[in-house]
Parts: sequence; C-alpha cells; structure tokens
Amino acid sequence: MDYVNSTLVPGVNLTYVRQEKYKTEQLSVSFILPLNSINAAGLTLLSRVISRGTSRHATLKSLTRALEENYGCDIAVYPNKIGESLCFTFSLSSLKNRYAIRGEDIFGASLKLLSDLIFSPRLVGGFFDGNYVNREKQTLTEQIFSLVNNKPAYAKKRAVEIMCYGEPYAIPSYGDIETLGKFNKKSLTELYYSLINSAPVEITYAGEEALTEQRLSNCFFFKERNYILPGVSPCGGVKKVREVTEKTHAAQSTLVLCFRVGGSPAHGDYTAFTLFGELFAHSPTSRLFVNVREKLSLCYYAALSFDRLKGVMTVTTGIDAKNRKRAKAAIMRELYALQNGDFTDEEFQNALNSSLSTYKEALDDPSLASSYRMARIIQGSFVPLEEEMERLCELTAEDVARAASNITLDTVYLLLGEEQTSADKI
Amino acid sequence: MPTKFEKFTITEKKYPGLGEKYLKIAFDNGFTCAVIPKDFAVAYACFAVDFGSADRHYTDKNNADVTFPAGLAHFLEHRMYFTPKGDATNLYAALGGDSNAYTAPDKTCFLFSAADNIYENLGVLLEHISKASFTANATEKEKKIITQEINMFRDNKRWLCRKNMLACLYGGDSPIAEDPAGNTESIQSFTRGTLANCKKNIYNLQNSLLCVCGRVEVEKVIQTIKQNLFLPKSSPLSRLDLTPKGGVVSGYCEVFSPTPTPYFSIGINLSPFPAEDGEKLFAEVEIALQLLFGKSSAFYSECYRRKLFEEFDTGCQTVRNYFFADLSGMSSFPGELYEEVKRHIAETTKKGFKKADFERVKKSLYGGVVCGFDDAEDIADNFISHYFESGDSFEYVEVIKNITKAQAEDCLRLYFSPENTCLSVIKTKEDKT
Repeated sequence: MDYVNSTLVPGVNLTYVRQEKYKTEQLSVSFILPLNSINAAGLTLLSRVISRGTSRHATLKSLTRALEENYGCDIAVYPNKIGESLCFTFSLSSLKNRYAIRGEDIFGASLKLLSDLIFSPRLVGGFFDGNYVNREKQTLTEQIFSLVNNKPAYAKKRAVEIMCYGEPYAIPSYGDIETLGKFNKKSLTELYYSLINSAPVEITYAGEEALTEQRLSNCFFFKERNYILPGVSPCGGVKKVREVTEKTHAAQSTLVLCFRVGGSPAHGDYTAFTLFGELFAHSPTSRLFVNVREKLSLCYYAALSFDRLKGVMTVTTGIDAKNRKRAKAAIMRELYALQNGDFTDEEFQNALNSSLSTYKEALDDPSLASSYRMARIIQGSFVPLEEEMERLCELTAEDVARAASNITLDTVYLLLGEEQTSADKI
Repeated sequence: MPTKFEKFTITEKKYPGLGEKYLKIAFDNGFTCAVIPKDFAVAYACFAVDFGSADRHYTDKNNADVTFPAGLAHFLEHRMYFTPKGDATNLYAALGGDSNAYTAPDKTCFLFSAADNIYENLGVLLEHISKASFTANATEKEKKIITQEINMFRDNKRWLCRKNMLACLYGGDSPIAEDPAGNTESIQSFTRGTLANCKKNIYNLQNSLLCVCGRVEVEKVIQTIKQNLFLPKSSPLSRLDLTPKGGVVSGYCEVFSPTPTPYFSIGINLSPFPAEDGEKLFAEVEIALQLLFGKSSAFYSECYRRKLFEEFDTGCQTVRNYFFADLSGMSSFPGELYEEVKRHIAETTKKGFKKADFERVKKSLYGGVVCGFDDAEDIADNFISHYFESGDSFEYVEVIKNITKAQAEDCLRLYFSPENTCLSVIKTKEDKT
C-alpha cells in the first residue's frame, strides 16, 4: 500500500491510502491522550454524550435520521487503550458516491456529519446538555456493573488490576464507576475542549475521493498543538508470584495467567513477539491449542492478549475448577519450552505463515490496517505493513526464543465458578 | 467408484449496478460451487453443508424415523479435521491457510482464508471433508472440550435470555431453542460410530455448497474439486420439515441470577417463513423493525428518555421455516418496556408508516447491504445463507430497492401481532421476593 503522509497543522497528521476496490470511504480521526482514571471514565462518557446529538441535529433521533438519509453512513466514537495511552477515535464508513441511487454526494454529507460530531456538539449555555450527561452516566454505570457477566473479560480485567496495582495500566479503557460518578456537564465539557484543542491527532483516510487539504480544512477546524505522545510507566521485576482467587456464580471457572515482559520494545523484539504469539497461542497449530486443548482436553479456549508497548501478556482460559493446577502447569510447560527454543522448524514456519497471513489480511481491511498503524505510532516506531512482513521473514528461531525468555509469570488469578442455587433453566 | 465431476454447466450472473458478478458451477452429479471474483489480497472459501444443530429429525428409505441426539452436528464439525494423512489443521498451517468452522442451527460451515496457495488450501478443505476419520480416543477427548464450551455459554446471560425467549415462542423441546452444542448429558452418548454414520448419511454432494471468493480462476477451482472431493451423491435420509407453531407457547419466563441489571429478550413469532418470496418478506421485516424500534424511531427516543431500557437492539432471523424477531438488551423495567412494544405494534399497524420515514430507512438498509460486499467472508457467508433458502444475496439489493411502503405496511399487519410475542427476563436475585 502506498501511504501519503502530510501534516494538516502542526500536531495533526494525515495518512492517505488510495483504495478503489471497496464500496466504502473510510476515514478515522484519533486523538491520543495519556491513560489515567479521569481520561478513561471521561472519554468513555464523552463518546456516549457526543453521539447523542450535534448543533444541527440536537437529538439522537434527528442525528440517526441524518445518518440513515445518507445511505446509513456509520460513525463510531470510542476510546481504545494501547499501552498507557487512550486513543479517542471517530471512525467513519460511508458508501461511495457511485452507489447513490439519485446521484447524491454521500461523502460530502458524511464529512459534514463527522465534522459536526467532532467540532460542533450539542451544547446548552456553553456546556453539554445536562440531561444527556446524566442519562449516559446512568447507562454507562449499569453497563460497567454488568461486565461481571462476561466472565473472560471480567476475569482478565481483575487480573490486570491486581498485577498492575498503582500503575496507569491497571485502569481499564472505560475507567471506573466512582470517577464516572464525579463527572458533570461542566467537567465533561472541559475535557472535550482539552481533547479537541491540545491532544495529538492522527487522521487516516482510505478511499478514492480527492480529499485535498483545502477540502479537509473546510470541515476540520484543528488548531496547532504539540505532538507529544504519552509514554509508559516502568514496571519493576517480578519478586514473588501472586496467586489470587475470587468467587463468582458460574458453571465454569476462569483462569488468568499474567506475565511481565521485560526488555525494551525495540523493533526486533516487537516483531519476534508477533511470532512468539502465533507459536504460543494464536493459531490452531499453536502450543496451547494443540496441547492444552486438544491433547489434555482442559479447555475450549486459551486466549492470549499481548500489550507489547507496556510489556504485559495474559492467557485467559475457561476451565473446570478442579483442573486449575493442571491447566496452569500445562500452560507454563509450553512457555518454558518456547523459551528454551524447544520447537520444530515446522512449528516455526507455520507460525511465520500465520503471522504473514494476518498482515496480508490487514492489506485488505482499512480498519485493521488503521489499528496496526495506531499501535505502531503510539509505540513511536511506525513501520509500514510490507516492511514489517519483511522483518518477520528475517527472524530466526533464536530471535523468538530470546524474546520469549523475557517473559516472567507475575500473577495467577482464578475466578472460581460456583453453581447458582436457583436453577438457570425455565 | 469416486463420483465424477466431468460434466458441469457454468452460469455467469452480472450485477452492473453493484459492480459485482459471480459464476455458478452446477455439476451433473448434483454438486454446486459458486466463485465470486474479488480483487482482495486474501481469498476466502467456505464449504457449507445444509445440516445444522436444529436438524435432528429425518426418515430413512423405509420411512422409519431417525433422530439425532442434541449437539451431534456441532460435535461432528469439531471432529472433521482428522484424516488418514493427519490433522488437516497442520496441513492448512503449512500452506499459510487460516482455517475455522462453525455450526449454525441450519448449516455447518468449514472455511479458510489464505493469501497464497489458495488451490492447495482448497484441496485440504475438500479432502478433510471427504476423508475425515474418527477414533474412540479422540471422541472421548472431544467430550471434555465441548463440555467446557457448553459451560462457557451457560454463563453467558444474554445468550441464556435469548434461548429462553425461543423456548417461550416455540417450546423448550423445539430444536431451535436448544443449545447448538447440545448439553453435557446428550453428548455423552456419542461414539466414533455415531459420528461416522451421521457423516456418511448427511454429508453429500446434493446438500452442500462450496463458495470461493477472491482472486481465483474458475478452471483451477474445478480441477481442485475433481481431485479432492469424494462424497456420496445424495443422502439415504430425508429431513423432516420443522413445523413452527403459530402464536406463542408461553408469554413470559424469568430466571433469577445475580446479574446487576436485568436482561430482556422480547420475541415476535413471524413464522412460518415462506418457501417462495422469502427474501421479500425478510426485507419488509427488516424495514419494519427499523421503522418501529430503530434508533431513529420516536419509540426508541421516548423509551430511552423514560429510562425503560439501558440497551435496546433489534434483529430478525430465519431457521428453516422458523422466522422470528428479537428485541433485546438491558432494562430495569422489562415488563413496562414489553407493554410499550406491544402497544406500539398495535398503534403503528393502524396508522401505517410515514412516507419519508419509509424511504429513509430503505435507503439506509440498501447502503448497509451494498457495504457488505467489502468483506470476502461476509460475501461468501451471505451467499450461502441465501442459497440454502433458495435465494440470491446479490439480488437482495434489488429486492430492498423494490419494496413499497404499502408492502411494508401489509407485512406489519400480517406478521406483527402483539399476541404472537413473548418476554424473557434474567432478573436480579434480590427481586426474587
């Protein structure tokens, strides 16, 4: 893919990729902020309040009708955690003009709607509508409470909170209920203006319209700002493995192994960890799938999550509680094997094939390509997909084993499922 | 004798307005393959069998009943990767293919995506479906894995709420209200023989479809089929039609759980799904649902303002001739919300839709369906779903464009009856008293 990079105003970067094979124009605008409790809770609330209406379309009904009228153009607003940064993204997907039934300028109307959502929200007396703020706070609170029903996600969140206690990384992307409760229309409006006026911005456009700087500056009103990306807090080494068990009402128990990944996220390591992830857990030929699931029949899934920027890795698996020691031992056995370079050429080649396929898939998918790009930008070392694939092909088995040897078990968390007393059947 | 693939007819269908085309290869032996050319870096292929978790009742040639235990289609899908050559997963991996499979209520799908070695990967797909073999040991091991999968779904309250809604609409013993994976008891009876017999009797050329989407050459796809696909031509069994009851079996059910905010699922029975013109009805229902309950509706805004829900989503689904809508989400007042839903259906049925609202929603639905042609997996999966329902996903765009306001209103009157609805709730434990 040929990327064209430019700077709209200082602190606001634009990357353009010409894409003709899709039926949609895709544009995303991401603001990058440090991860802390206020930003996490505030930006999650902001994403909801801002989506309720704009100055032109003051209600959700009116705004949704405008989107529907524009061939169902989709604008998603959401915060995303990468390392100890939060990306606050407005993501537009709009049907290309050539598919308009009556020759409408769909993209032009989409840009206007996107611009309104970013720069012209619904304000009353200079602040967000208090009714919207209060209602969205209530909804969000209920949704955060109900996350306990998603056992794998809840267990992973608790495990990371315990392992990273005191570090920003412990904060989930949606923040916490207490901080959320303190927000009002005034503080949320202040957060909005600091975001719009001072956070570094990355814009990605994949499409075929002539998105000239003139056209962009007609709808995007960015001020100059400093482009300083948040860093990550250092984490100490692991002194003693923590083991924590909490109980829940569930048929299944969820085991989370949390690891620290030492070493710097230098280019070589970053790429080697991609291959390690494939060898360890990502693919159906990975060690955890083949051994922990297929050979030992201990689980249905063993999901690996790897934040290379922060150096945190988790393995989450749903198990029968009586097998928790066996499951932990089996997962650790496979990790030690990879750390010792105990894997075959065939496994290495399969992992490489699988990684390359994933990247090639991103070549077809502008949203995947954009996620890859944002993660690398925040890391401070953007490498085009094609170059990253070349780097992967240059890796040796020793590189992967060396990267893996930096991984140390820190916390073992078990969300112990206990069957409910009330029947969960009709 | 292996089945011959020598004779076939290729039909090319073009959709200039959509900028798409596909080729349908109909073999004389009854097998069908669709090739959808797309300029994507990664190709996607799916082999679908017209046999899902809800298809449990058949008759044999002597007209005797044959009933499959709950969860068999899904269990078989898990065990279809083992061939005399070894684990097909490894063969895909060596070729850079990313493989997967899933079992829906009305179909079983085996798929892969690959940027390179497309025909070699396709060969692996067709070969492991043709030559899957089963062992007693692997069958026993799989029971433990699937038990964990079943338990994972049991802990998913939204899923449980929906399952209970279907049981209210159609009865707890209805095949579509059952867990696609079966239950921890039903899967215990499976042996290698159960799997082998089911595969032999059900997996055949006439009730399956191969769909390939990407940069592929038709001749090479045909060649790969000839070399690797070996299945019986037809089945000795006949599927018994599922006959959904009208009305509802039960109007309400609740389950207690320590969930913080209650989940709800409101079902609307729209069955039976017609054998002819099904796509037209489906499009009418999609439009009607969005007009009645979508985010742009007055109903949505008003109920949200009154705090009658925290989350509210709508959707509709067909399974054979079952057809239902599901309005679901989180609500502290599911009973009141349910009453509003029924009242709103009754009122709108009398008043009809506004012309401007209808045109806008139709346009939005059209846009969404066209955008679906940006993803190889969506393109192929939609093609398969429509094909098994005697439709064509490429023509669905025109079907939507041609729906009139009067047709959508007729659909509302004929299919949306407040009496044919039910409410399923997962309540907080404290409410029990």
